[in-house]
Amino acid sequence: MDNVLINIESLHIGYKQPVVSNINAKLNAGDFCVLLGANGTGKSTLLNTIRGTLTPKGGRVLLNNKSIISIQDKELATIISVVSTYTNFASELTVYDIISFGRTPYIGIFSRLSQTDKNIISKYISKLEIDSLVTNKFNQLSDGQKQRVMVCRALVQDTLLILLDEPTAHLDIENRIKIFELLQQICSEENKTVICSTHEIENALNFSNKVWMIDKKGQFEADLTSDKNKDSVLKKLFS
Amino acid sequence: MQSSKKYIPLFIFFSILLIALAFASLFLGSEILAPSKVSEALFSTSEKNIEFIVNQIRLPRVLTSLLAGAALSVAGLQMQTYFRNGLAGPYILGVSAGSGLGVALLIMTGSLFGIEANGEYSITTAAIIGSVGVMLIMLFFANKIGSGIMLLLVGIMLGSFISASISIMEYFSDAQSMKKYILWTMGSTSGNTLANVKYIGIFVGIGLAFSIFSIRSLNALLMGEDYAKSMGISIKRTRLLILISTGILAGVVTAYCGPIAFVGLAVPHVVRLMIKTSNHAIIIPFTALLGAIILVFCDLVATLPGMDIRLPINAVTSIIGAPIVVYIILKNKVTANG
Repeated sequence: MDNVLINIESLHIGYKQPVVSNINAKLNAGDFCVLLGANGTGKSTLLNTIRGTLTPKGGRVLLNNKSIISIQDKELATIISVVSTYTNFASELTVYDIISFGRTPYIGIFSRLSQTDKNIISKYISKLEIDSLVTNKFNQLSDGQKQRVMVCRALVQDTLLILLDEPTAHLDIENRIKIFELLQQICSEENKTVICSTHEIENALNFSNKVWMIDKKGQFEADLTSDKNKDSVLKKLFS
Repeated sequence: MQSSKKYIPLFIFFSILLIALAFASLFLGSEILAPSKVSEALFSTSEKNIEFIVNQIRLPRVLTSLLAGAALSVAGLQMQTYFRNGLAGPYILGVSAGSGLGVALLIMTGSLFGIEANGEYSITTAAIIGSVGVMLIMLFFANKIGSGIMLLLVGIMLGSFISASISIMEYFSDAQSMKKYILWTMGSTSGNTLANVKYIGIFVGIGLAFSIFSIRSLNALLMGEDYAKSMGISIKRTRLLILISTGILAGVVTAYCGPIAFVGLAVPHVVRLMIKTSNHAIIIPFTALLGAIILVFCDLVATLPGMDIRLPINAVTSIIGAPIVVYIILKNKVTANG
């Protein structure tokens, strides 16, 4: 039987008003799921509800059969890591600093990295081929390099699930494809589960094995896996 | 976040510098004493008047400067990291405004209620009540408010509100009270007894201990509150820890020395430019040490060795400090670009 990691049951999401209602979906370990939807349809709201920063308006999100709201912040940080669109960090931070912050849930109050921590950090730095960047200031990287570093940091956090909010938004075509390739590789080789919101329909359909969609009427649809036709997806998204 | 061992020699160098400056401050004053006389006064017996000058006047003053410099700098660092704003300092959340209000009320309106502002502890007590009051108000808001920037705005507004209240009191007060209040705002590290220094030391110790518990959170906060939260940092708990730590540090210094300017804002910048790391486990000890060095040095300059007059400490911290910081920033910019 499949190993269900995340189970969303009749979930209603939103702030004061519900944005999307009755979401039902499941993901297994190793799934690469893309979340499609026009601007303002609630993609980020859904991601924020899944990571527990936003309380559901109804229904629930189960992680390994445990309700997300019952999991403490610190434990949650060992299950879910995040790559957001925000990169306005303190200017003195180097690439190595940012990546090593991924170990925050595992280290003591003095922020001392153990040998295990350092090994995990080096492993993913070489896996993502960013060895030459580690001493650079993060602010001086190109947008493509920044995203690779942020994905590396999420991997270093060593979680079962990685949530990415439009990671390709500022990238050129070549770098967009590279990020999707990387995410696909992470899911298959590291058995991580990835949920990635994006506007890149073609890449999304090419690289992912699960597609979630929120259409303009606020309807959530999960199993588009059989429907790998770009035109029909477009039609569903914007009709 | 590379190895911390390489910073040990620099830390030892600064420690020696601090000790040297502290000793220099003991024999350089309005009366310049020979080092041998100072050590006699400290460690054995010597003439009564020299013993008095060294043990009752200079030693408490040097220790006060040392503790205050360390306290304000670490408080400023925490505020700068938490608000991710280099213009933040130890007083940004209104702690010194609160002390100022306490002192202003005592000096300018105390006589209405038959309270004299001359007692040894009355100004200190008024300042402590004022800063604790502001800290409690800020803790109340910190629990209600979602983001750091909103807390910052509340702090600034509270500070403005209090300053305006003090202005009104100044407007209606007599010249003598006003002068007394203005002298308090210029700060002073002298006038404390060794017993007072003990209290300052205890509170600074508590405040610094709180800051140590925030090291991991402060590091994560360099990536912003949202990422810090995603890495398991409790934002509310961190905010309270930082608020209590900076409140105690800035509050106790303001109570015993008045609002000493500039040090808390500038020292964290100097430290960050000098030691190239973002790890607070390393930055915090260096900030404390360099803060102590700078305030002891400024205090030494303020005594104008060999002369009978003394400059207000706040004038010295800013006049000496501001050009140094500008120099370091410019120098760093040039090397960073070149």
